[in-house]
Amino acid sequence: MERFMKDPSPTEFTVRVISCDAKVIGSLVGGCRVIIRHRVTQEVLAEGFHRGGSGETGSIMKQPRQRGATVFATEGAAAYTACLYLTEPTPVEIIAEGPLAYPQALQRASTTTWLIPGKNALGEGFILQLHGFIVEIMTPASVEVFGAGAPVHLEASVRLL
Amino acid sequence: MNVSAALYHNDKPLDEILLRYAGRTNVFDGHFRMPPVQKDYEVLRVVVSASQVETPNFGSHQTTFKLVP
Repeated sequence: MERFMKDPSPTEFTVRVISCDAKVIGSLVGGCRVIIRHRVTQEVLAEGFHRGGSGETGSIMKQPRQRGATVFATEGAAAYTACLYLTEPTPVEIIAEGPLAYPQALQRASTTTWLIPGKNALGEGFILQLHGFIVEIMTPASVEVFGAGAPVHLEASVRLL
Repeated sequence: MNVSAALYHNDKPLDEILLRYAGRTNVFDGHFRMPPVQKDYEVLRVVVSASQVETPNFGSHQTTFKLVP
């Protein structure tokens, strides 16, 4: 216990943000902002961007999941990894917000946990799930002008985050 | 999944339609008939909503456009 009080220990951990019923929220949709906040003091301990690919379709969407199996932490899959230098067990809140490229679809999720000095949480890491669709009206554009009584064609794309 | 669109004028709902799959990945479409215009022009707002209650996932987007006589 004395070590906790004197020598800051590097403590690495990974955060992954996933879409409900879909894959990892990657750079294609702008990624996510991740904030690590001390749960008591509210001090921001780390923040950054969750970027990378959307993960492997097979392991996420098709294969049955077994306890302990790697689902999201595949090569190139989006993640945010931080290293904090901790002197004692630290209560934190992990907050994720995205997808950053689509303000109308922006969602936020958070979880709380303890971080223990020197105990890394890499690999799958802490997983946060965002719910929602990216809805984007393609036509009409907001600058268009239409005549009264005319039919207006409306087109929208809808996809998971 | 249900995708619908509502048309508003000054926050008053004018019409609501269901959008159908447009034959292209992730794209849905439909048609509104525009109402008559009383002034030089009117601004209309269209709100598209998508919902899938089973998962559950929801989303929405809106835009405005100008209508002339």
